[in-house]
This record gives sequence, structure tokens and C-alpha cells, in this order.
Amino acid sequence: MKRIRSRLKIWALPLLLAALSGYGLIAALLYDGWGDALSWFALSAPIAATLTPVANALISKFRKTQVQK
Amino acid sequence: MLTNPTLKSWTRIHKWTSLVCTVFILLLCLTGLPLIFADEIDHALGHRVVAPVLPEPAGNVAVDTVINAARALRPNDAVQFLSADSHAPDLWFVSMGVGAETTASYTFDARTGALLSEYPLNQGFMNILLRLHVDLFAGTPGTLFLGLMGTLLLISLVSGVVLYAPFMRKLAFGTVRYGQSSRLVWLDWHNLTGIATLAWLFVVGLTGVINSLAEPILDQWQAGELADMLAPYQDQPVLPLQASVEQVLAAAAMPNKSLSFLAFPGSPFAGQNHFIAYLQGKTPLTSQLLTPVLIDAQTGMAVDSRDLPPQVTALLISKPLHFGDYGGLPLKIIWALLDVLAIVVLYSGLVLWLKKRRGTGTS
Repeated sequence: MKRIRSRLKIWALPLLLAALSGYGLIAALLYDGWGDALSWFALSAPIAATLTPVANALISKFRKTQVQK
Repeated sequence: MLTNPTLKSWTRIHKWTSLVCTVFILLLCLTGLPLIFADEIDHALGHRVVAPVLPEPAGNVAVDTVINAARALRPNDAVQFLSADSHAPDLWFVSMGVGAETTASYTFDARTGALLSEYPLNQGFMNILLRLHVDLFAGTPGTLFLGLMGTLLLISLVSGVVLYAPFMRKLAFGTVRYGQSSRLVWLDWHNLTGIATLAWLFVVGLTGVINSLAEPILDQWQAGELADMLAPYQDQPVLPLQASVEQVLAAAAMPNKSLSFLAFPGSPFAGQNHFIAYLQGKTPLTSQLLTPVLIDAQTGMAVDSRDLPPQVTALLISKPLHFGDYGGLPLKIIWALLDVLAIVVLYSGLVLWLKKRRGTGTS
């Protein structure tokens, strides 16, 4: 049985993603130029986060090849 | 920690709000995807044009020349609106109409007064998508119904957040349990895409709901504040236009503001004998907001100006936050990717419900 994760551990990344999304939504509304660029970066975070399973798979594949060596 | 009965009622809320709205929200996500790029598509199809490069720099013709050209094209219709685009300063847009209905939308070159294009109103594939997205071809009741579905989505999102923690107590963020039952794989993808897109989807959902209330909000403003501004003149007979549009625009001008659109006398957003110029600010935020200036069509003088009430301001701010059109093409592409992820959330939720109903792969 895996250990039960603390509330902080469960919510740390979701909160960070929500904060970045909110920041990204507002930045482009408040500032042109760099405001737009900041919003592109911030709003890319939730998209990148959905690639976590892909990243996990790549990491475990990499570890396996390391062990075999 | 959530107790079992509480958890059960949240599960029930999540299940039923989602079940009712999912098909409609899926339709909104699918039709909304191309609509994000409506402007780009209009330009590609030639429905919208950019101002041509002139051999030598020229000043602008009098705006009345443009208005008269529009009137000559549809002599039986009235000019409703003259609009400007702060990103395309060499263009004027003129809408013609009969009563409240718009019959034509022209783009003119502000420097030469030449007609550049006519926008094809209420036709084409994009118009079908727009109607499906806005009112399901059912007018105001359709819009309000979609607003209700949006409200259910918001409740579904909140209940989904409550359920996220109990599901993730033993799993690291982004875990997908491949190799286990397909139901668990769908559940893990549902939880990941759902929690990642949560804030964006909530904002787009909420601003969509506010946009669905546009008609009642504007009706209330027209019947209240606008009627109040026009009250001193309501007993006047309808008089022929005296002031030139050039004169009206000069009277409306305010420092640090530019024209968004000018509503002509008799059109839905003006008086019988009064123009209303709607001015926008010059910063990204204030350019979304409007200040109405009432101008006497006889004397060409500004007679009143009031700030818009909070609910109209909320509506104006909701538009860019729903459309994603306020941060260049990269923001639109991000909007589209997040929209695709929202489709994954909805579809995986539907699959989970179907699998549970069939009783297959229960964990």
C-alpha cells in the first residue's frame, strides 16, 4: 500500500497551474508586448502539465536503459 | 478530510451536472475551435481586407464622403454604425440597416473613400458554426439555454475539484496507471487534464455565461441608463440630420480615447435625434471598455456622457476573456490547445460514465 500524500503535496502543482493560468489570462489584458509574451508562457504551463505521463514514460525508459548498461 | 456521505453527494453533483451539460459543452468546444480563428479565416476568404498600400502617403477623406458612399449603395436603408479598428487606422466600417436589423456591412478606405469589401452577413460555414455556438439557431431562448449549460459546467468543475483530492491521495501528480484496467487509465487522464485546464476552463465558462446574458444586460441598460440620458428629448419630433459626421466625431473626441463606434440617430444604441459615440481607451484593458457620448444631431454638440454601469463593463471584459483574441496569434493557438484538452476532459468523463454504467472494468 502506498503512503497517503499530504494535502500540500496533492495541491501544490494544481495550485501553481491555476495561479499561472490566472496570471496568463490577466497579463495580456493589462499589458501589450511583454504582457502578451508573459501570458503565452504562463498559459503554456497547463498544456505542458498534461504531458506529465509522456515525460514519466520517457524517464522510466531512460532509467531502464541506464540499468541495463 | 471528506466524510463518506459528503463525498457521495459531491460525486452525485459532479455526475449529474456533467451528464446534462456534456453534449452541449462538447458542441461548444468543437464549434468554438474554428471560431477562435474567425478573423484569420475571414481574411483568408477575402471577407475582410487590409488597407492597400498607396503609391504616396495620403491624408483621410472627410468621413461624410464615406457615409454618403454607403448611403448610395443602399438608398432605402439607414446608416446604423460607423466603426473604427485601432489596429487598422486606415479603414472605416459602415453598417447599414432597417430598424434594429443589420442589412449590410461595408469596409471603406479612410484615405481614398473607396469601398474595399462587403462582409457576407448571415451566410457561410463559419456563420453556421457561430449560430450553433451562440444560440443553436433558436434565438434568445437558445442563448439562455446554452448559458444554463455553461452554469452547469461551472458547478461540475467545482465538484470535480472537490473530488480530485480523494482520488489523488496515493498518486503523484500526472500519474497514469497504464497496465491496469482501461477505466483507471481514462480516470487518470480525466483527472490530469481536468485539473490542469481547470482555471482556464472556469474563466472561459464563466465569461461564456456572462456573454449569454448580453441581451438582457444591454436591454436593461437601454431601458435604464440610456433612456435616462435621452429622457429630456423624448418628446421631440424626429428631425432631419443637420450636423456633419465630421463635426459629430470632433465633438465626441476626448483625450486618450479613440472612437470604437458611432451609433447613428434611430439605430438601437442611439436616440431619435442624437448620435452616441462610443469611445474606447488606448491601453489594452481600457481599449475593451466604452464611454458613451451623446451628441445632438442638429447642433453637432456633445450634450451628455456617462460611464457604463458595472454589468455592462463586466460584459465588455468577458468578451476578450472568452474569445482569446487579446494576445496575438500565439494566444489564439494556446486557446485552441486548451480547448482540445477541454474536449479530452469532457470525452473521458463521458467514457467513464459509460464504462461504469456497463459495469465493465470497475476497479
